[in-house]
Amino acid sequence: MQTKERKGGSIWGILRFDEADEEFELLESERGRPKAYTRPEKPAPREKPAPASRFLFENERRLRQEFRCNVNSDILLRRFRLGQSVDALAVCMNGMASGGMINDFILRQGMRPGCMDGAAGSPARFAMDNIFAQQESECTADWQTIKMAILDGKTAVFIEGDELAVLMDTRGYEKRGVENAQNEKVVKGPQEGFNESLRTNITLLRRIIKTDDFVCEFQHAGGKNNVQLAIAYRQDVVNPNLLKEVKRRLHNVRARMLTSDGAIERMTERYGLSPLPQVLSTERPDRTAAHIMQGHVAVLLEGSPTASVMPATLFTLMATSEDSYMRRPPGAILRMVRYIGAGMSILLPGYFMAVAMHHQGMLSTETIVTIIQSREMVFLPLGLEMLFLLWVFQLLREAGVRVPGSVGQSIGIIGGLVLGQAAVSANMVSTVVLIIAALAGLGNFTIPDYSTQIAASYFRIFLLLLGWAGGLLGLSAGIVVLTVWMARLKSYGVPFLAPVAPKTFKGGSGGMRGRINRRQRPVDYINTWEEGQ
Amino acid sequence: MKLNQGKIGRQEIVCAVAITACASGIFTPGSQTLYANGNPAYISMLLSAGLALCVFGLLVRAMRRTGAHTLWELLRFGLGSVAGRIAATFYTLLFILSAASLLSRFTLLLGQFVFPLTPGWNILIYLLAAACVPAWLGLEGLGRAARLLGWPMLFSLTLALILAAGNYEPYRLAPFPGDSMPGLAGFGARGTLFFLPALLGLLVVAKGAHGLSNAGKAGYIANAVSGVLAAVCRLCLGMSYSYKDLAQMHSPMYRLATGFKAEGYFSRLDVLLVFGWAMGGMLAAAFYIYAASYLYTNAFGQEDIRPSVAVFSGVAGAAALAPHLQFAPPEAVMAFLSAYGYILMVAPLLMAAMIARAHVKRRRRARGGAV
Repeated sequence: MQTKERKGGSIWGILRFDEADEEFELLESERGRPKAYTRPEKPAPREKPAPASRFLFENERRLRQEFRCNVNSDILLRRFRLGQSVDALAVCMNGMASGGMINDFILRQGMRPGCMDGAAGSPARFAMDNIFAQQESECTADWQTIKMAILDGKTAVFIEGDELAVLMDTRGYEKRGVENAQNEKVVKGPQEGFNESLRTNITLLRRIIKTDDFVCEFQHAGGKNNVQLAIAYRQDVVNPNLLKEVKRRLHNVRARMLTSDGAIERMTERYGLSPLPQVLSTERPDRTAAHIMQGHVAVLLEGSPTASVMPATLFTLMATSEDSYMRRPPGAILRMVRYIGAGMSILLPGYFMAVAMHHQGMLSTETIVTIIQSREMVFLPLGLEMLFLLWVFQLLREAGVRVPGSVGQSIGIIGGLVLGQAAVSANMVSTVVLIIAALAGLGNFTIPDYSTQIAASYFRIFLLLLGWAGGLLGLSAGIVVLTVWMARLKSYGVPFLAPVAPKTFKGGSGGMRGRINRRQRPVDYINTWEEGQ
Repeated sequence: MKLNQGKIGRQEIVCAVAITACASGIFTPGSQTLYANGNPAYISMLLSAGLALCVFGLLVRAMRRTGAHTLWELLRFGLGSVAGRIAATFYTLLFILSAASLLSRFTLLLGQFVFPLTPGWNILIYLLAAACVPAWLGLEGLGRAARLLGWPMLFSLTLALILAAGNYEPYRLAPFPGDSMPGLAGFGARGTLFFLPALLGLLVVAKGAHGLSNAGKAGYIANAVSGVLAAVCRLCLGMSYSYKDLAQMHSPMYRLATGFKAEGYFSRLDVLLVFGWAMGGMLAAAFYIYAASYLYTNAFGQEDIRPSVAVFSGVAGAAALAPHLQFAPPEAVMAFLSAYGYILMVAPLLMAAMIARAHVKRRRRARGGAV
């Protein structure tokens, strides 16, 4: 009987007392063999398809049948005579392969009279070596590989009398060009962002990391839609245990369809119920490259314009690439502003609620009078008023994100102004509470990572409810619980609050922006190979 | 096994133990007994911390000699399986009572000064939740959070002491040092009840602190920090009020903080300071509950710590609520525990350590004979 592996996402997992946690540690004490407490789930045994046939008609029949050619007109099967003497069949996917490349470098070359003269041994190998002018080509008889190659946009050429097929890279599908990063804009530094093409994304990384130890391993992503992913890392730097763990978790990914790296993140992270991300998702090649240089591992998925960098800590999620492009004092101040903004976003509504509802004695007379005057005609209780405003803020934000371009911006501005003004005029909310909610919302936008922004808004509401119910006592209890919970969180074996708690950096700057020359060393908390030597 | 222990570094464990000992040393002692016959608390705190350190040092040494990795292993080695389990149950109760007494003190403090109209159980729910959840989440989270939240506690303590500096009058410390030297020594010995449980907790979770050697060093540092801080607080209190006034005060630290009145927007800073201390108190109670659960789990062969954490949190909550419901143990029992509790606490440990050492010596001799 196969043991069922426990998934971190189950809410019932919290209350189960009979199963050990699947835990992976990357602390210094845990060096050596990786501790994979559970074995990777074995894929269900699949019957291996028979290899390609020596007879062309048999291969053609099989292809027509398996690609459902009676109803599917996307598949192109082109028969021709190689060197005007041997029957051959070129197969490709319409739209995925470039017609020009097939015409110029396969058909035109192959139809030249006498080009097969002197062929000895395997005709496919001979054709690949002497006729087809393609830089990336291979010979295989494996039927699954041939099918996958055709689906990927490559062209397969079958030759009568040979079971080997020549696979040639003729991919020429339409794709978006390299454009500016949309969600991680910077003033200084490179502007380009990833697009949906895996090859282009890797090229963008290779343009930045020109080292011989930079490796991109391709593998099947695990979805039934047969997309590929690439695991990018520096072999001389990366911690082998981290790499093994990343591969182990990726090996367990099973999904009907994978179109975004977000799905892979969800399926590989340990704490599935955590609102905080345990992987950094970035659309910037320079940011990904910087992390790879430091010893992180990046996973890029075909069709996804973002890279997943692992492990990620809170301080990774709070940093932007621009921090490194600025001089140290402004970089450090910017980062500090961001931390203060995040703190304000999470704590301010709860703190205001606690003080206004339970500890009025802490406020000066002027402040109390201002609050009372502004709430004179408001019919909603203070807590509901704050919750209502935070809800409106979330609505505006969601609407602004979903509605395209300038209309989205207009919704944000006009909605904010009009709704705010209207709500004050209708005595639904007071101006003081409006300002508090707006400040909290503004602070939320200082958090660079989108998933962390969302997590911060959950924390804000959690602390608001505690502050409303229990005053500063509730708020401090909430802070303790949240801090302990975050401190316990791990991303691929690395504590989420590293390098501050635990303190792992050696003379570094922790969460703040350090000196550039210090970055010549890899980050301490990953225990990289380079550092260990 | 699901003991939620993991591994934490020296800084984290030092912070967790120092916060626990500090909270116990500063907020748990009753003013009436402490200031009954003079104002020597600032010296007796140092004495208590020193005595606790001696006992801790002896235990660490005994554990090193016997090869025990945790307190439970020492108890089992020294007292045997049955007596060891009885002793482990006793120390589990000690940890639970230490947590309960902290929770009770903070409930009383907050109920009296910050939420005067709120029933005690209502306040206790928040404190208990903030102690139970971290203990449930385990030592790693607890230790790392202690490293982060230790700063607010330290800041709020030192700020209270600095802001009250205008009220300090050294003459209030007289008579020096208290009424008599034996009395001072007695206070010092009794005070180990406040410092030693945190150190014992450290020995219980020594495996999670990268072993006994690291735990030993962490214990010395944490005890020194907490002893000095507690003594400084008592010194400042002693300089602010006469011992007769202090004996009447329920929460002298809060009174010290209210001594400072800021103008304008920063008025009533004392409430903020109290919540800085309360966060420390929550973490300290969580550490006690975790240590109790871990010891019990080890001693009785449980594989999961979480049921114990839930039960012990409930017991600690009930014990903390007892004084608020006018339910208290008989006076004589309390007086006995207050006077001789430290002996009850230390005796089984020392006995286990001595017997264990004797075992080791006998073994060595036997080995020598065989050779």
